[in-house]
Amino acid sequence: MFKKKRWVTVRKLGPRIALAGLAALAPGWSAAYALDPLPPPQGTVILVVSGNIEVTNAGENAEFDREMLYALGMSQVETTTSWTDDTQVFEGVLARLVLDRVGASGTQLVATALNDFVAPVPMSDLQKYDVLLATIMNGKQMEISDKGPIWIVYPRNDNPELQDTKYNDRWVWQLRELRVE
Amino acid sequence: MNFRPYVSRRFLVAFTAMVILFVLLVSASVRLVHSEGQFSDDITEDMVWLASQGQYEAVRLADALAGYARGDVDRDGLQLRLDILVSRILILEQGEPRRLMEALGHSHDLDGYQHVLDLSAQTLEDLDPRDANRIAELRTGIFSLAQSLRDVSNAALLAKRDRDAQLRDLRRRTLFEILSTLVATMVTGLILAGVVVRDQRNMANAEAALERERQISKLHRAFISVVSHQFRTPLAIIDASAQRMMRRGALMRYEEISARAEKIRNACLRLTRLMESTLNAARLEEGEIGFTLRPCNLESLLQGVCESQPEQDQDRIRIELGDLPQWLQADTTLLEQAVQNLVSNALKYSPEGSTITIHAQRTGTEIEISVTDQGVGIPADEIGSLFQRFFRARTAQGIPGTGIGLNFVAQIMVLHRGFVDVKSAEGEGSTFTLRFPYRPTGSLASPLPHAVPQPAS
Repeated sequence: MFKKKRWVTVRKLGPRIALAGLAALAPGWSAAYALDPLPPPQGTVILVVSGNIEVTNAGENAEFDREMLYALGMSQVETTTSWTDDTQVFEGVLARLVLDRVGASGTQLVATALNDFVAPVPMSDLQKYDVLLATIMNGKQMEISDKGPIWIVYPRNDNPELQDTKYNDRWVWQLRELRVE
Repeated sequence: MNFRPYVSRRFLVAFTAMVILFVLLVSASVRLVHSEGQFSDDITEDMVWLASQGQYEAVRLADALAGYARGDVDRDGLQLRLDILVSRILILEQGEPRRLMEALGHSHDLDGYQHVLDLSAQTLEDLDPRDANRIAELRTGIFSLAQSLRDVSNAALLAKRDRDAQLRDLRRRTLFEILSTLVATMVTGLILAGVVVRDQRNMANAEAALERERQISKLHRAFISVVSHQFRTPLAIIDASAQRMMRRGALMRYEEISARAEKIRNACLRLTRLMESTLNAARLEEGEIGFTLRPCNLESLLQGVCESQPEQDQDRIRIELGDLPQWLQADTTLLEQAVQNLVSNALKYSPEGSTITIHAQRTGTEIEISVTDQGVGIPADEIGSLFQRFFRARTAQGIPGTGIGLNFVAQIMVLHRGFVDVKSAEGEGSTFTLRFPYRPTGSLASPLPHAVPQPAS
């Protein structure tokens, strides 16, 4: 069924992503970078990060439009999913980059979808795996009518242990908000 | 007799059974693990969830439509509800969810859903909140979609229950199989262990029997050697006397004839006793010795032993008699054998010309007969082993002997309820003392010098 195994590539796109990669490697510098104030969103807000965060731009929350998310650096993950056949190519921002950007600290994320579906996601997952806040699937921007605007994607081809069904709940689609706890 | 249990047929059969059962066990376990993992990546149970979520979103869309008509919900809100419903239906149209829809026999419903969604999208483009008819028409379609999704979720739940029951059955069967294989393996293991233990025991028994046979055979050879050696001296005495009488013929005086005849008779008597003691010794080995107490004159017994030694050695022997009763009860033949053994040992293991002292006395309730030599002596560390059969001391190396004599002496003393005492200094000499309880005789009458001859039967 979903047994096809392929290499998952996390391709860095552009120099800013390299910068972000460096940030992840150098904790001191990363902190300085993360503490930069976040400009208010210009376009439609597609993601709200709330809870225990240091950087905000809308009250106690950090709001991101598509541009702001993409500016954090795009990565690519090729993986199968439990809901589709064949390998899908996802593009989006690594979840840990977003959380680093807002100075999040906590052990758990509570992901809320547009349809008010709520699922907990352990923060450790994001450090251990390249969990993607995917916005593009197979080269096409995902719309609300097809799991968009954001789908939490785990690289389950690269890490067979992620194929356990317990991870299916964490693949939250139509993601609206991440609350850091 | 098979000494290798690993090739015995019983062992092979049990071992093969063990191997087969083990393979069965492993295969059943693998099947169990497989049946556990079979549906681990499956989202069949999610089907109930997916369908009910679709149903919920359909109801929310219908609700939003009502809100739109009232003016509580704007167009974007309506569009969002429709988009979410579309995404819900889309999930059912691809991959595993679609195959599950087909398996549940509801795949044809998907066309109906698509029709409702298309209609909704079209209608929403230019829907007037006051157009009650179109809104009502749309809501009817959406409600029928919700109804159908409810049926799907119902069917999925039933299918899931069915499958769970099958899975439980399969698991129970496999578990039972594993359990019975385990029990069978254990039983076979026990049989195997039993076979091995029994074979081992048989082997040990056989080895013990073999060792016993070896000992007996060695003993017999030793006996033959001892006996043939001891027969030689009296035979030589008889032969020499007979030769002398033949040579002298009529010239021989009566006194000499009488003396010679006496010597021959003594030698014959000694041969008789030897034969008897040999038989006794043989019987002693078989554990059926006939121990018979008879009146015994210790003095003449010691004299007899002395005279039965080779003539050149007789002068070396000194007999000292302490306070001693004239008669006592003992197995004369065996006791004579014991003293004989000690004396011939003393002669054998001491230099020519040195004196051997035989001392006999009664001390209270005990009779003591000691034989002292000035010979090679026995190393102190070997005295403990001296009475073991076939044991020979280091200092006895190079002197012919069987290692059976002292063992025999010790056994004779045991029969007399006595024991053998040894004192020895290496290079200076040894004293062997026989000690046994004094048993007084009832009658003093005795037709023979020191023993009543017994028929050697």
